[in-house]
Amino acid sequence: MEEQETYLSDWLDGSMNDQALKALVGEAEFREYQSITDELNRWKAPVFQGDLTFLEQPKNKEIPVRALWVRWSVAASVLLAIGLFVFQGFSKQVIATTGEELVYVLPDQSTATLSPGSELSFSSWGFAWKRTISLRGQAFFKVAKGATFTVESDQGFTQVLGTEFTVHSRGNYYQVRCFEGSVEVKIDQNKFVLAPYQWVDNLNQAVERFEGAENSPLSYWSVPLSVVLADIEAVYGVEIDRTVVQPSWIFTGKLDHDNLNQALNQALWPFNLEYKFVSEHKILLQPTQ
Amino acid sequence: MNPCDAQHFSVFYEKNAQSLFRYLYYTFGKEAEAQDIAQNVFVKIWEQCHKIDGTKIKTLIYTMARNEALNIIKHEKVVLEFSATSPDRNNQEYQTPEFLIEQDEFKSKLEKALSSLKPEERQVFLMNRMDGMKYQEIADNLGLSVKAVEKRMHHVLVALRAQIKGFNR
Repeated sequence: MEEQETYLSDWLDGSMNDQALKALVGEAEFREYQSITDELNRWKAPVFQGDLTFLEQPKNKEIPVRALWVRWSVAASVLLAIGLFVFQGFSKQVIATTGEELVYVLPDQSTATLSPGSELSFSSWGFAWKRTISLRGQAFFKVAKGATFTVESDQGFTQVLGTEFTVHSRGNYYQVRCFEGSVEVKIDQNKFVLAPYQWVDNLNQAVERFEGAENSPLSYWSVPLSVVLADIEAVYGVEIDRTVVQPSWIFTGKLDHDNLNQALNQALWPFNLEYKFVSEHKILLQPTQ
Repeated sequence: MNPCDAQHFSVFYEKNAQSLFRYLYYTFGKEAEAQDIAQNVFVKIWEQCHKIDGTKIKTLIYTMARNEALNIIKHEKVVLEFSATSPDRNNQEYQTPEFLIEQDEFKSKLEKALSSLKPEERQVFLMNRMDGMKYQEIADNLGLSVKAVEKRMHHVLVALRAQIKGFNR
């Protein structure tokens, strides 16, 4: 019972007067409370010494620093991809495994930058006439001018002529962002045409604008938090228990590629969540405090 | 507010830097570290202003400060110290040596009692008592309910009284 009472907090903020508290707890106890508050009134807290001089300095330009192992893995992956291309015949499969980013040059000189844990496949035979690619995961495409270029995923189709765009297909989620030119997206039975700096996903199914020219792997515009966490799993090779995550939580922002703790903090703080490693690769999320 | 606008930013800084620093001091009890962390939080906000939602910025600075403090400050025993204004000089009764000694003793007992509280209770209590922050404002800054703040306020006063009685025994 005692734990639920808050009469002292009422007294402290003045919504209960001295007489009422005295009547409730008796003269002696009242005095003891009062001697505490009187003593506190005498005290002074230390003073903040900071200043605003940093406003005058030019801001540090953020240069994304990629860890050496990422560079090497990109280089190795490109070599591997070229090797596969030479030795393999008709159907090509390109896989960026956990923790590696992969730049793949398609036969028509278009490039696909695969985020970790993503894969694409296409038929190399006749690609010049029918440019069709299947994708699972996330990739940024820079498409050379030419015939229609199509990216298929389980959740939708994206068609372009020559442009730059990002397709993000993770689990049931599907999002396309257009950076240049125009992109046609087909989700379920609906068709959307994106102009530069417009995006669409299969949740809202409406074309909207985004800002910023970021197309690095862990940059997001209005993406469900659960999808962001699935990407973190793929990039860092961890497993995240996200039972507390609500489907309505939407994330916009950019995460670190090379610091798991930073990336988790960046993704979680807006939602008042904190994380805990239950084992080396298993992470549990819980509300802060 | 627009965190990228220097004018907006400095007003926001003037209004909140002191409280943020004090929040850190009340929670972790390390003055020098609290100074640095509070300043760093504002530098970070300024550098990354375009990524920040101006409507949630107040809660954000408290969360950032707390996270940074948890990274930096080791789990040690918290020692809080406050300076005190001198007693009323015009009142002879309050100038006797006995009274001054008693008052000093009471001050250190109360400091000790405060230091032994749970950080999340102490911070709320001192933000209200020392900085005069309203319960609603504390709740908003820390992402708590007003009810939770009230419970903590009540419980702290109960605990402080009990502790001080314990020291007297």
